[in-house]
Amino acid sequence: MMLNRYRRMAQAAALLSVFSLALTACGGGSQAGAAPSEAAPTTQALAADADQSANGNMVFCGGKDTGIQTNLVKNFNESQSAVKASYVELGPDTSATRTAAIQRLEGGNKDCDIYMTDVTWTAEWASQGWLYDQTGLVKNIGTEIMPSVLDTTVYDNKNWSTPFYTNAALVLYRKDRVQAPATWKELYKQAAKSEDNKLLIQLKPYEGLTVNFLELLYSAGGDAIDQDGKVVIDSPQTREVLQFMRDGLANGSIDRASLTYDETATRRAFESGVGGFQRNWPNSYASAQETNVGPETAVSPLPAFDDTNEPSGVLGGWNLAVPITAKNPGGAAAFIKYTVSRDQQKTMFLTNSQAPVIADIYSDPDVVKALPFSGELKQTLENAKPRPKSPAYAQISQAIYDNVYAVLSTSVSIDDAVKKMVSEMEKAQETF
Amino acid sequence: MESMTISRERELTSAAPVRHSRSVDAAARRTAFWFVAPALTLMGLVAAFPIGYAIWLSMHQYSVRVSGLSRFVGFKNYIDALASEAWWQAFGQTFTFATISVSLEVLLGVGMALLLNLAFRGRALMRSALLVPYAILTVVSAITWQAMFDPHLGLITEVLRTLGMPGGDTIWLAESGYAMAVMIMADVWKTAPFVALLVLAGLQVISSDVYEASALDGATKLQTFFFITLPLLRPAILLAAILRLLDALRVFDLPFVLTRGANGTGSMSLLAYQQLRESRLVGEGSALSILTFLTVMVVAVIYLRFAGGNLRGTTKEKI
Repeated sequence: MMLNRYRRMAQAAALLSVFSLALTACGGGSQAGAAPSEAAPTTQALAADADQSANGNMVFCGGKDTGIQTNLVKNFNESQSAVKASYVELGPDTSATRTAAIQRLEGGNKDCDIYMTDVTWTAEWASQGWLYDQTGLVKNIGTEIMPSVLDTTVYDNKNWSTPFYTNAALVLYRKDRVQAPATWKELYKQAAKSEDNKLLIQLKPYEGLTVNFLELLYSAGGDAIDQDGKVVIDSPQTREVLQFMRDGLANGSIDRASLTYDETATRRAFESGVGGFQRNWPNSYASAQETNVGPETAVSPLPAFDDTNEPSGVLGGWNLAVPITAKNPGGAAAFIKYTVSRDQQKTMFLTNSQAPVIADIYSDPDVVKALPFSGELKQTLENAKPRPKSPAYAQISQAIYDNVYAVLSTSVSIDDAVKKMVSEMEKAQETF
Repeated sequence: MESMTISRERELTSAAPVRHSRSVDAAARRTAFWFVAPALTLMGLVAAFPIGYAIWLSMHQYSVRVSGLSRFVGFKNYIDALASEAWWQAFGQTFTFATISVSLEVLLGVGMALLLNLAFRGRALMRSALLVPYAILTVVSAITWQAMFDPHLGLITEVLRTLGMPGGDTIWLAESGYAMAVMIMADVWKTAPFVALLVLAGLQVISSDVYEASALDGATKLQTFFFITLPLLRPAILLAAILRLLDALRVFDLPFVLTRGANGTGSMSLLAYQQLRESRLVGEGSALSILTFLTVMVVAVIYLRFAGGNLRGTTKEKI
């Protein structure tokens, strides 16, 4: 009877535990079929004229369709008849899209001829050997892509994708409460003067906090990882920026709600009349125009840290990569060439407000008329730098936002936080 | 998932187990074996294979640099996890969350069940309405709670400020303690009705004879509750508590949406997710998943060891 009892207990326990594994075990599935091997992947280059005599179906895969993708596909299909493009949504947001795409890449799925890739994925995807080298194609494109933007496609001195559209943050401010900021230090001073002047930023511990921190760090002349992949974040600039942010929260320059805010929450608070400044992406300008605060909202490029520095920023945006599993790389090349054509880039800016990757479009009279902040955006884009390039970027970013958040929300010493950040980033860089 | 939950409940709550005597004929046993074989095979496929595969993954390191590159590392991933501050933090925070929220859920659930067991107008409607929070996806309810505690635009912070009560100016999700409180509130709001439903089912099977007998003996309402209702409800309460406890120990959606694990609201599942999914450390993440699974299993085994008899309604049985 005792034995029976234990057996039943064990059965019940096993049954119950199945549920806990339902969540966890499926995670491992992504490695299925990946045979252990020590061989480094060989690189395949996409021919510079791969688009010549392209035909057939071409599948474009990416995140949630914001209109820009389907418009592009429609325009491309109307512009010629040899290649027929279609769009496939892989996930509702950036992180889900990455997971879905990686599952396909690891499983050898051949459905996608182009992946729309976030600028931070380049190093990982290139080093995994998932992508065609697009260096030749990029050289043969015929339009001048902004150097800072093109740099987001580079890893190991090769272009692994072609820029689709770009992005950089701006400062939105209330004309009736504050002035355009001269520097970040001056912005914080204005913000501290009144409850209504405060700055709203994204300090929730996620990718957005990494970007917010790097914007300040870059504009103060600091850096996170150098060209050779060495962690250089332990610098006086890092310490100064961390102290600056901590003080900003303590003396009321930064609205403390920012500690729980992402981009959407920031935008909503600003649109309901909170604060004097908002750091956000360009689409928040159009959004503010549709609310009561619209007439009082103005735009400024991201400023320099103080009088002794140059303004800077962090590049966002998306690129177009061709996986080596593509069934129609020629069709993909034709599609990419069409996407970065001057006409199409201008159309995308005017219809979908996404920033073009070609510099002179920002001064086009039609564009200036329709999007009054295009000059500020171009200025920020030209000054902006990419995020650290590393195959282990996800870990690098977590090391940054976890430790910056600790400085902002707890009393941990800045010195300890920086040391921990460095050791976690170095560990990430050494990841097998 | 739903049907499995039901069958699990049935197994746990089924009446006194059938005792096999030694006289059971071997042929009958063999026949019985072939009857259960399909079920066992299915269990093996859906349960044993993924568990085995996750264990296999957890003994390897998979390169985040080179596709398909991996190496066998034995128990290194487990040792690293058990030596890390992050694991023990997540472990402690998960247990804090689970203990407090499950206790509150049981207390509130029993209270709600007692109320719903009374005869009153609109009782049927109330019983259905009770299930609404439980029917809402956790992610959706987490987003709702996050919005209600928004420092500027949230309903709750606004009400607290208007009434001049403490907490109106607190950034709830950015302070430890407060953030945990929001997480517990969201969980209790959603799952106390589930406990209430199970307890209500338990209440309805208590025969009216025992109440009549106690009334004849002159028992007060309080005595009736503590000496009759509560002991007879024990199996239902214990079942509700273990189901909730195992669920709460695997909490993921709430911290993922509300805080991303900051301010003392981490969880074991969230940590495993971050390693496995975001950082793509497949081996390390799988080891964390297995550790989470083992933790939950140990809790389940201990619980069943002490409450197993009650769950099967055989309270007299002693080990």
